[in-house]
Amino acid sequence: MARYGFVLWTAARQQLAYRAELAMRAIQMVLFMGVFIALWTTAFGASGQAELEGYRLAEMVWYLAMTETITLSSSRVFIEISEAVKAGNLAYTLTRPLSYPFFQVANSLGNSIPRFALNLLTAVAVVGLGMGWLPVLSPSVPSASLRTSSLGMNSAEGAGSLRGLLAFLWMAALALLLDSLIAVLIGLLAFWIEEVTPVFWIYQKLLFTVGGLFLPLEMFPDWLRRVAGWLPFQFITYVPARAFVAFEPGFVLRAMAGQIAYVVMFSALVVFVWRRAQRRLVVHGG
Amino acid sequence: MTAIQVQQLTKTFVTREKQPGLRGSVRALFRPLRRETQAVKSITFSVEEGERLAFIGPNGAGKSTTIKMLVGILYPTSGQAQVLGKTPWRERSRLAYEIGAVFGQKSQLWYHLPPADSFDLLARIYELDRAAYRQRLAYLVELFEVNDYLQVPVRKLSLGERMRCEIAASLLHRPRILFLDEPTIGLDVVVKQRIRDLILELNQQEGVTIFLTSHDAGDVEVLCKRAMVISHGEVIYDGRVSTLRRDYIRTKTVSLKLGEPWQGFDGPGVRVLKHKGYGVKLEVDTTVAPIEEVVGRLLARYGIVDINVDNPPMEEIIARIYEGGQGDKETRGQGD
Repeated sequence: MARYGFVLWTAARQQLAYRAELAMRAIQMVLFMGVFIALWTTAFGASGQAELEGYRLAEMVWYLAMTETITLSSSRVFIEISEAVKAGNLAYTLTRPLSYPFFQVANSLGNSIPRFALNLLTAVAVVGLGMGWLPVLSPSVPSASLRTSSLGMNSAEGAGSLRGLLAFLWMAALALLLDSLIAVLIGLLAFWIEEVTPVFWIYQKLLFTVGGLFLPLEMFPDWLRRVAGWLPFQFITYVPARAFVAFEPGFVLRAMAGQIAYVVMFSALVVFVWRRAQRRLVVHGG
Repeated sequence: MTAIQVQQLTKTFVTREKQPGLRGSVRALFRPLRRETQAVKSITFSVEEGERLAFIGPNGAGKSTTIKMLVGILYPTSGQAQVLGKTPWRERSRLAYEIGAVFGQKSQLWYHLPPADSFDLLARIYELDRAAYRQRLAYLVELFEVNDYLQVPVRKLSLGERMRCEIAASLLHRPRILFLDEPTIGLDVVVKQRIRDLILELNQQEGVTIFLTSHDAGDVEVLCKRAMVISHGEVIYDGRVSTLRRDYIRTKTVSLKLGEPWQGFDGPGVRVLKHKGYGVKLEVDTTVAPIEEVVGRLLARYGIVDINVDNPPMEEIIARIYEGGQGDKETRGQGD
């Protein structure tokens, strides 16, 4: 495990070397958040309601800021893997005493974490300026305005409580791990199909919809919400963001258990797919 | 001790073929045409520890398929292999601690980080003891003279500088066998020679077995004592490099720029390939006419402005092995 940890560390440092790319990411985040603030301010104004399905305006924007923070940190490691498969030069990493797919999982997480930190800081700054600062960051601002919505249970704390933030960080880490496992799986599909990018698009669209990237699951019809609740995608976007805007211990524990279950399942799937893939290795660049 | 022992190793793979046109695409979807290709056909050989072996052949001959089986990446269709007493495809991870690999066309260093960071990561991956690692690193840094580049991001290094770092990186964990795949590709003559010297020195100092594949006949001649030539998945030559040279690398190509216009040159073993004005390209059979002699005579007659001596390309050498008919005989011997 320590070895994979050091792979992650090295990948994170390499990621920090791409200064221009990181700057572009921050700009992208500013634009996205600006659009979301404008869009939902208008939507709430038009509806004439103070909250939609339990989300007040500020909570909605913070929710979207957190789902975007996670998905925009996704590493796209599937591109590297599928290209290596197609070019037939997986050989290199394979002469090391490491598991190739888990090396790539660590590499992917290492790429994601610096992006995540940057995205989070940018999102917090922009949404903070536009929607009011988080109570964690400025305790002097009364957070009552954020706290009185009907979202969740009575015990729910408002957006950006310290506990909500800590829960979010843990859950985001699990979410990025799950996302990395899925990205590696998609990359490995290159052994069977020539172009894996469409598979990634499908994954991405599932995050957009049943993952709750653009709309919290509360806004879905009941049946769809129930379906989405069993799928892995909500554990990547909806669940951490929801914990951030409305911290509730019961929800967080259940959600993290679900995340861990999916991490274990997808790890097993990665092992299984990799075993099958190894037998096909020769077709590509033998 | 035997480092590598291979018996009747065979790899067959199935490729799907698609006929042209939309009809072909639809057909390929439901009833794909399968074609079996034998990439490696029952090859048998062994390599002693400390040997320097050149494993050569044209593209698609089965070289990399064989290497991939030897490092445990590929499962063979049939046959056996023992590398340092282990069956590579069953014990890949454990074997990985004892072998090193340098692929000239694929970097193992992290592109945006200095080599020192990649070295540190490798030390962790191979679980090297910290003190032993520092000592080893100091030794390799001195031997390969990479001290000046240790903290420079890899993207800023020249190919030659990077290659020295690549080889040093593959030696950190003291591998007993070093697989080198085209280690000098794209390098200029001086740097090539330097890389070869370093590999030789390493082999002599540490007894590392060298398993080299290269298209550069120069690499083979300088580095290796023994050569195995593989073509269409079969071993068509296995013997001393000196014999290979005597029998098949008899000629060298000499390109010259002369001090006076070309007016012809007579002598046994010398063939004019082309000439134009002051420039001329000769093929010299070195068993008949030593290069020094030919050059000496040309110098006396024309004066020489520029000179380049090249080995014949690998493809030509292999064609000659086939022509000599020795290929068939050797293969039968190998297959038994």
